[in-house]
Amino acid sequence: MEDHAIIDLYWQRQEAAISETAQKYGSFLTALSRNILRSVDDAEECVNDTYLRAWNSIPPQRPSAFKVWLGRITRNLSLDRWRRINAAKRSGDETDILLGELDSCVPATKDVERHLEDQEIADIISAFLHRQTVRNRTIFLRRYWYGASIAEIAEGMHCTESAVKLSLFRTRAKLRETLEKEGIVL
Amino acid sequence: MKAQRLFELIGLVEEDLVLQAMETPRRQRFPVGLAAAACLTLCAVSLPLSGLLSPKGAQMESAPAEAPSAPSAGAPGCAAEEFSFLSYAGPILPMIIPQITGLEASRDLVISVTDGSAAVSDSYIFTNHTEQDFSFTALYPVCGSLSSLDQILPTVTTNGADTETSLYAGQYAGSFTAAYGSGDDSRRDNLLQPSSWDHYDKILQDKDDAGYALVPMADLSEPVTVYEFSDFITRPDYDAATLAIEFTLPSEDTAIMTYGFNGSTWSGTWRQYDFFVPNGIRRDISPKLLILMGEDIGSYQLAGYTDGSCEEPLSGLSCHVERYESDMGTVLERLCQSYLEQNASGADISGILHSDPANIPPELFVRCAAEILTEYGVLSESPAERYDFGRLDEVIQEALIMKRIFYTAFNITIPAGESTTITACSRRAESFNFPGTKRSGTTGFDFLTNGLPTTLTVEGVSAEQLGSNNLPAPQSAPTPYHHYYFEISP
Repeated sequence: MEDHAIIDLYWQRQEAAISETAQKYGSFLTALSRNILRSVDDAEECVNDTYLRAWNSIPPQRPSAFKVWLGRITRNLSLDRWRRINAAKRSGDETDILLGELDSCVPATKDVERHLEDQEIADIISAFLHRQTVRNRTIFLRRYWYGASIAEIAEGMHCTESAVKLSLFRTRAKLRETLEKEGIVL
Repeated sequence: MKAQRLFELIGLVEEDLVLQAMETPRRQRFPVGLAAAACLTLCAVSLPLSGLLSPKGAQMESAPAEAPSAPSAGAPGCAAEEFSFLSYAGPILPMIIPQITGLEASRDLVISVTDGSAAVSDSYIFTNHTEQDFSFTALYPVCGSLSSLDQILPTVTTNGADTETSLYAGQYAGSFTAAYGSGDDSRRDNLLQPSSWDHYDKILQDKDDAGYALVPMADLSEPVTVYEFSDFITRPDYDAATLAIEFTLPSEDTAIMTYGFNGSTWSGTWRQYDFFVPNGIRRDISPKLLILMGEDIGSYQLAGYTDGSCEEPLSGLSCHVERYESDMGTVLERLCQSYLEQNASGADISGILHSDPANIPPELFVRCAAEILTEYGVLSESPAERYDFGRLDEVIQEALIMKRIFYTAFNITIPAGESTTITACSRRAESFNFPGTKRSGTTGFDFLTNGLPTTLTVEGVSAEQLGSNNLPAPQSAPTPYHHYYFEISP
């Protein structure tokens, strides 16, 4: 079923909207959540919560890119859940490692600080990613949007893990530089 | 906490960027839709299909003694596209023989289906009605790969006596496809092995595959400079200690190839090729070679690192580097031989060999590797993305797994006024679908006729088990070079 037809079902308040969503995107969302949580059970709960959020958000919303929109919800729910599970400790799991990598992107505090809305910062990151090569951008987003492991990315991109690490290392350094130039504070 | 916030912010980047990063690779389409047949019992019942093809023999018109040419296979309109399996074994192909006036020939094909495969007895009865002897070379083709060679090769007998044969390899029968997320269908990142009759049909129709098999391999006499690494000293406190050779590319025209390396980094004309230092724990006994075709690198630096990311320098790592000159053919031959020897000694490096390495002819192995290198690799005019890093490891291993047609050649003499029976016996794997997929349990075999009057017998399959098929109807006229198939219901 096409995305717009599924969204119409939400607007018509038909429960088939949930089953159609699950059928079309269930495996994608579960994989996305599992990348962050590393637990099938926790991931399934997050995905079920995603359907509930979608049900409560549509209407009034009418997402333009339904898959990414659902993915964002799952991603945020999974990160929240990961925080609860790993509160007050560093678990050393894949997500811990991933977030540790992102620490190197966090800009240093400058005298002139800009406190921007989330979407404004995201737009700056989008513009930054547009300036990167498709390969580096793909590797970056697979790692930090989808939460894929280094090995998974290397396999998908048909390169070595060290090549993926090197690409991520360089892109992170450039992102940090960009954010610092913009004077952004996180 | 700031990293988590950044992670959340990255979640808000443009949707198009996110969608682009998740683009899935183009997958090969496997047509489905054939209904699964009923009937579950496997019976040892002979299903006689004799006389299905015309009793009239093809007239043989000349008597050349040279090697024959490949048939033009695949009649238009045959229902080959309906014969579709996720694991396709390839068709049973007919013997390739020259046309000879005065020589009558017929074919007796027996396919005995057992669990997971079939014994194929493909007999050709030649009768010489003239007063002169006829001698010619015949080819018996089989589909498969070097890695499973001893499971597919036929034994050939002449009137029941073993016949001396020689083996030739056709070209890679598959093609390539784009990689995950490349977004460019013209890229050749992944192997697309032949997965239907169409692939073999194409190579038989469009290319002179048998002719290709019989000509000498590509010329690899081009001189190369080789750097060979050995006598490693590592740091036992670092599990992934890595050595890298770093240099500046001397010329755009220099082709660089490696064997036994684990990674590489390119930046402008700067190159870094690295490998995990053998530590006696990892199974890492392959030779490590850096091969340059063209201008030599001159100076280089050998650097140690804590791991394969090559980011943190590590002292105390070293190895012996020997530089020598050779030619590409010699290097490739040595690497293929080394690969076979390592597997023969029980060190199963890749787990891809289904044959005894001793039964893989080294000259065919080198030929298949040379084909990849010169047709698709860094020595080709337009290297496929799959091989453009110059890793000979992939070239060597994929020479073993690439599916192609192998040709068993043998000489036949038909004395004047006599009949001779040539029989090729081989095993043929079934085509099947993987467990859990549609039509799982249904298997099939397909074969090609070549215009000779043919008697076909299928054994080990009950009439109830015989599922979808396009076997010829009894008494129908034969169609030269026609593709037939039959499916077996579980």
